[in-house]
Amino acid sequence: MSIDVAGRTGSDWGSLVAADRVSARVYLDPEIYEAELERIFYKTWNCVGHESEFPERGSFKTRAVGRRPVIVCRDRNDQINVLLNRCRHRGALLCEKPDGAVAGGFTCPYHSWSYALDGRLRGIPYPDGYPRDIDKARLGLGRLRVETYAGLIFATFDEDAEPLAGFLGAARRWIDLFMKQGAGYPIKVQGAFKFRYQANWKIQLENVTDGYHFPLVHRSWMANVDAQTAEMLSFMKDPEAVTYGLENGHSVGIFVPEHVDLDEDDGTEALQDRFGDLVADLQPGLPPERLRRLVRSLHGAGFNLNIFPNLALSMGFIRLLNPVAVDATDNEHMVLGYEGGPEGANRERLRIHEHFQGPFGFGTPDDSEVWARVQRGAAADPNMPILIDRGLNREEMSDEGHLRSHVTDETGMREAYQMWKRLMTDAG
Amino acid sequence: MPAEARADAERKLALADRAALSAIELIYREAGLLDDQRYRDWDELWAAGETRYVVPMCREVVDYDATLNFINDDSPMRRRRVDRMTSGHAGAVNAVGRTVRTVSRFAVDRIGDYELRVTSTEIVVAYKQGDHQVWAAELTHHIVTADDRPRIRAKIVHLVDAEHTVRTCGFLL
Repeated sequence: MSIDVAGRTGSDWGSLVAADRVSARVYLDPEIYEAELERIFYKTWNCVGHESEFPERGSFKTRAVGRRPVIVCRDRNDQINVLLNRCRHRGALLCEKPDGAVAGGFTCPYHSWSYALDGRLRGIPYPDGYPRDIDKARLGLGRLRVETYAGLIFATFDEDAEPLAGFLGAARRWIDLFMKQGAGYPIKVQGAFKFRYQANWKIQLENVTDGYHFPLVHRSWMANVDAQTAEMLSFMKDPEAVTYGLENGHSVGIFVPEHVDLDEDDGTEALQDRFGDLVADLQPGLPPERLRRLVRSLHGAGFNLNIFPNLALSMGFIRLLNPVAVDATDNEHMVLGYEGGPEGANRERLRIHEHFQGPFGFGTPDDSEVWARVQRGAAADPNMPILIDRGLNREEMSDEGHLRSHVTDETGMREAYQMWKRLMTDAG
Repeated sequence: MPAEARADAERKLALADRAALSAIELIYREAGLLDDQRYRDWDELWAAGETRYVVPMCREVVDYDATLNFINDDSPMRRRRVDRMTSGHAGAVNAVGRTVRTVSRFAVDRIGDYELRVTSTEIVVAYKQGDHQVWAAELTHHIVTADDRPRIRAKIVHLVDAEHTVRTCGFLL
């Protein structure tokens, strides 16, 4: 199969994606990026956070969906709202703080129009300049439609988008498995790295289920961790380490098969020596089964789940991406912990996260480097396709009806690009 | 925090003080080693025993172990970081072009018989692939002076944009 992209300037974006390859233009073309905002990011469900980030009424964070800044906040009725961060009067950004808590709501810095936490317009200073019967109900903040699943907050600009549950589809089972890393405690976000890399967002999307790169790009990390952790992530020849294409662009890559369902434990797995001090600290207070359950969860779930287009649930953390330009993407890596759980266990998870993730981690900078390298290299010939055919020779259909191949194969990428194609063509 | 440390430094040493000068000299030497990516030599500047190298994500943090940090290295972890930086297998490190940094605005105060606290500013310009990046931070060094050579016992790097979106980094601040 070939892709004829030579000289194409129209909007037949679907022709850029074939079953086994995509045109490099999908990384490079600013026009495609603009179309992606309209057809993907402003149409479908985007994850904008986790409920634990908003513990109290008035808790908020500012984020963005594409180029549209939003405020995610918990209102006085405990509802989570996702509001367009823009005053209805003359357009000023309402809130510039990355996070915080407010008592009543948000007030515009320009003319002090004030809004409640659910976006309702509460007050207009010096109202004499407006009709006495001005309809404040029509002048609330822009609001996105919000639904949650397993504590994850999703929002969409499209009132007609299908219900979240249907959009997530088969991925829901994997989200449920992912959340088992709470080990009996509610999951909480302990903090987040925020960083930008100079590459198209889809290069990272591909990477989430790309086991192929792991021992190569992350060689310095593998050499740096203890032998048991390195062994845990030695999946290159493990036949149980597989990837599933789910549906709607979602996919899952299993890196640590014994940690897919953390409730399942045949007792043969030795607890890692690196957690010896923690085990000694917790032993007096926790029954052995609970202690074992907790310690086995410290690295998180044994897989990376890609939820198209902007969410990844990746072992011990939640990853949000936001495309800020055709060649620049913002990321948040939110480390998880145990609400009300042992402090020592939460600290272990912080240290694990710092070791690999973030702008100064032992893994993330190397990922960012190769992604930027793809962005620059692909420009060498936009018409030369990006190959996503690895594993087609051994891909098979699972009993549940999902394509399955080895975790080093590119099944997840093929799934994502078929969804991309659907959304980017008129059929979407 | 750097601002408080500066305010505390009402009792600060004159920069011409011999101990203050040797601490500042150490920080200049450190800046040069980091720009030259001589990480093994940089590691030699640190005191034996318990040390801490932190790049926090928030200015108000007092207990770094209880929060997420960009870097929170004790002595063993710092050595592992040096191992990574010098391994030849870390793509981000290999891709670093050049950095040049300036440290300045020193204030030195004595916080123990053999320990000085030095606050300063650090501006790093990093060049790679046609792109100049600026990194700006306030530094707090704790320098022990018990031996004839001063050593770093702690270094805290407060990035001006720590609470916002930063670039990934293949060198040290």
